[in-house]
Amino acid sequence: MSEELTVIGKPVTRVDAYEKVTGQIVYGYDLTLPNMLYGKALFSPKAHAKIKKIDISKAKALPGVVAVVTGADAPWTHGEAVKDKPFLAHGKVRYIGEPVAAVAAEDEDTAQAAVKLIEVEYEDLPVYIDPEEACKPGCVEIHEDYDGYRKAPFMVRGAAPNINEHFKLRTGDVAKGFAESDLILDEKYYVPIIQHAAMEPHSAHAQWDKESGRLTIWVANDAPFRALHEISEALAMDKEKIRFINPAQGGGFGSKGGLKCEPIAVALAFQTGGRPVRVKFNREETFISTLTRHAATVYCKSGVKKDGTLVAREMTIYWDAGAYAEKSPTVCIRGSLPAPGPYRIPHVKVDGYAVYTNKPVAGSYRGYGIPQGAWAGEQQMDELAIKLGMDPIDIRMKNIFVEGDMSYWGEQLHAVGLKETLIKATEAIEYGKKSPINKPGLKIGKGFACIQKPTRSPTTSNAGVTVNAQGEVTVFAGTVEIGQGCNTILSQVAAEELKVPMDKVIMHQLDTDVIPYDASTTSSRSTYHMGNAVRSASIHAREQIMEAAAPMLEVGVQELALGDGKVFAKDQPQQSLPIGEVVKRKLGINGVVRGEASYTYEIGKDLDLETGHSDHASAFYMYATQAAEVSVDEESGRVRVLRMSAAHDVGKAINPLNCEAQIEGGVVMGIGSAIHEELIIDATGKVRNPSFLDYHLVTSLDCPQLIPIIVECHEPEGPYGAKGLGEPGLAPTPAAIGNAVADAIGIRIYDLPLKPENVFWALQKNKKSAA
Amino acid sequence: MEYFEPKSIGDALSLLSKHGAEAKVIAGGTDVMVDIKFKEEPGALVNIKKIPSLAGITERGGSLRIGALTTIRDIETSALVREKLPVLWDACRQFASLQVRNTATIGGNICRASPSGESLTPLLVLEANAILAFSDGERSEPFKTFFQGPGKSAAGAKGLLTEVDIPIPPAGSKGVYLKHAVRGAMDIAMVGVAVMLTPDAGKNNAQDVRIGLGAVGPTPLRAPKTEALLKGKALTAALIKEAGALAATEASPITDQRSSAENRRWIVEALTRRGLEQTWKAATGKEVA
Repeated sequence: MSEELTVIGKPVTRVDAYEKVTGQIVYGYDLTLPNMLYGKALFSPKAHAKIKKIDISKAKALPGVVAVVTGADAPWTHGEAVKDKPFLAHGKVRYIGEPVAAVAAEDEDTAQAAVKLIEVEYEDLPVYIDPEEACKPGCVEIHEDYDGYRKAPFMVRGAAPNINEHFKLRTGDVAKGFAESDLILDEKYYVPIIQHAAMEPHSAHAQWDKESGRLTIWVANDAPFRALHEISEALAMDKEKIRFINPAQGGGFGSKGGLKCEPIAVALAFQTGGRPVRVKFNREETFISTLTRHAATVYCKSGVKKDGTLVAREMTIYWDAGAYAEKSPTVCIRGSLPAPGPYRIPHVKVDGYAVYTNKPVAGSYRGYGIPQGAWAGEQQMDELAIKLGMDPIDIRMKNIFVEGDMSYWGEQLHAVGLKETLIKATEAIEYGKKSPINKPGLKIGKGFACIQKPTRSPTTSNAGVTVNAQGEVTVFAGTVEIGQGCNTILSQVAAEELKVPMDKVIMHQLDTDVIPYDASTTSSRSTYHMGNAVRSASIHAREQIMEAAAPMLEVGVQELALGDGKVFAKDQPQQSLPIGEVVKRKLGINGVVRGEASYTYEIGKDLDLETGHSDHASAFYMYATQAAEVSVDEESGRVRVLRMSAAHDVGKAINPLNCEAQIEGGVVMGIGSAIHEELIIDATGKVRNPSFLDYHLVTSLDCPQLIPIIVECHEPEGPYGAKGLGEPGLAPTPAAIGNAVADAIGIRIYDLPLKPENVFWALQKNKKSAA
Repeated sequence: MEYFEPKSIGDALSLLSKHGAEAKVIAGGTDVMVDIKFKEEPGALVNIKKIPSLAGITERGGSLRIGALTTIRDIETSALVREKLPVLWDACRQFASLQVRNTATIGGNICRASPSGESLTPLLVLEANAILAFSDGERSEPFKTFFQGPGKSAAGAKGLLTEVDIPIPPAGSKGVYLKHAVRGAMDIAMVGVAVMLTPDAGKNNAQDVRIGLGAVGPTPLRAPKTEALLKGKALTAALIKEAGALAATEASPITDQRSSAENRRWIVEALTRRGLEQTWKAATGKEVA
């Protein structure tokens, strides 16, 4: 379309800004329903144990208690890739924090008091904390019935105990590659468990209506259609009988996918005589009983020629799944596949293992496995460069993916904006130039890292767009506004195609009874997939309006154009009709024109399970480079990030303001994961820091100067050329900071986080070996 | 839980006498409310915020008197405190966050008796006294003996801290509070070190040096051996190095999820050295040679 874009590409203010800033919006956590009961769960105090006996009699007898449920009342299991997770523990518990029983009562205090009256007898089983230990021969299976579970067809069971997925990538011959290399580095890296810590903790409301047989769930879930499917499959209930309604969501970052409070609320709702039940987790419960990000142990071995040409890379990654599979199999696949980095490498071997342990459940987390691989691979790129006497920029420039390259997973790449991100991000912090800061005891350093990230493929988004006789446009899209700005982006798309002002566009609330199917609001997929669907649905509505307007304006459809909410004849613009007027004349004052569209990006063929190859593994790829300048206190080990640039190839910035905000938010989150954040779990499986007192998020005083940079490498299939942006914001951050710290102190640190004590001991060790 | 709002010190004391260990005094509530929510409710909650004239900063004789209900923010923004008690001012400005400082009181921080409490080591090195009210009269208790363990103080269950009496250090004396934490704000000290140095008349030697160590023992500590080592001497690089190492041996830290004991000792060493460097320079105008 050669027409000038009116609202796409413009820094439009968020459509939800006012109601959020003024506190008018109702989040899932704040929602109250008429006649509602309050649910509370009893969480397992044991990391791995048989349940010998549960006595609920005292809890049931407490006045105000309406229902008490245990696994016996909820004999269902669920799980996206592996159906392994009970609604409430069945006969055994697998982590501290696993819901064992639940109470619904007239108020929250009574529910909590009743929970304390439930008596459970346990018999201890061996506890596995380290995934590498858990998959040694002879270990007890945490899931003794694993082979009998329903599993997704793409899954490959590992040969050793407790492995729920083994992903393999095989390209060339790494042994040959290493033999041809002039320099080989082989290191072990570690990334700890962290948590999303969305501002809004978790909650779910459920109501079961016996008469209609309908189950309604109100929850700020980021994938209501997937959750609906999972509940329907677990309960063997028709999908039509289940309805999900999404109240506003106060952040997610991946944590609000899957089922956490939902199964507890559903189990209770069947026992309350039709009264709705709310299950709300406080912050501590959110820390121990929702989702975490996978800890990963990454073994990375690289071989290079003297001139910096990468010859071979071999990686073995242990993904710590926690007690249930959740999204571990797909994190293992989609995190392990691109882990060797965005480089041309002839010989590649990757083995990813997702391993059950007796720890809180790991799930999706913004970045989906990319930060873990990058932490290893990108630090090793710097180390290779330093050992070869090369500039870290030069070694990457030599190997980096460019347009038309054949990737090591067998796909020819297009729309690769990586090189531009590398140049711009490093220039922005004057990489290579010494810092003017000179303070005794303080070392300054700079570093950067590059990433590539695929998106979940193939997936489908459907959309509806209506135009009424008042000229108002309503968008029916299943993308969840999780704070990322999708309501603004999708409104811009509809406003662009129908040429109406932004304030004429309304986003319909997400209700699975009304809104057509969407795969999920995950994987940075929405702007691309739903953007395409809303665009096509808007065009569909527009065509109907143009068709109707042609006879009214007595010109051919080809002669018509749209602008400022009106249809007009191209050569006689004064001859025009508001689009609402066209709808009214055609369908009456209550008429509605409805446009519909479905968008699916079909991938070529599925990943080959033996080689990990696919001629098209992802609808699009996101590329980014971030660069950091840090200071390190040589005595205390404290790292401060002084400035950070982040250049992201977004294809096309539908809304540059929102893109910059996404990048900044991602970087800040990434800084936390680099220098503070770590969920500390002791040898018994207990989380030692389940509160914001000792789980350190970044505050405004820890934020450096942020330099977001938008790179636009047009993606032909994307709406207006757009790709995605949600996740990559934090993916290269820890590796960039790790490289900067190594530059500052001359010591490479292989384990995250770079918190003061860890850096301190690295400095001490170095002092000792120097002495 | 019973809730009370006494209007006088006398009323508060009789409530404390009646309820004994069951009673909890609340002022700013930044700690007590968290405990009520996540630990347990006390039998009786005694809110002393309605008692008049327990807040305020006044200069009396050679002392500054700070009322127990004075907020940390009021201390931080007091020109008088900044001028006369720089070590206390320095600690208060590094206390939690602005929002917490607006609510939290110095009395609460003291009576909480947490080894990491920000105002505690400065009060120790200032050799201040707690003014305690009991049903049988008032008593002045030096902070040296006031702190008895985490959450335990000489106020006991039946006493009420009404004021803090802080002797103003000699003119020319300088003080700093150095805090080691993970974050730049909203964080608990892994180690806190307060240093106060008074030069002699010719600014050639340290006439008096006092060092307070926080979060490295069951109570905030002084480092008497280190202080004795430095007294009457000119600070040199070699001397402060020795002092840092000695201070580390005077600490008795534990290992917890925030830090290992060993790391805490190293940090005590570094912060003591830095505190001495900074106060020496501020007091004498000379760099540590």
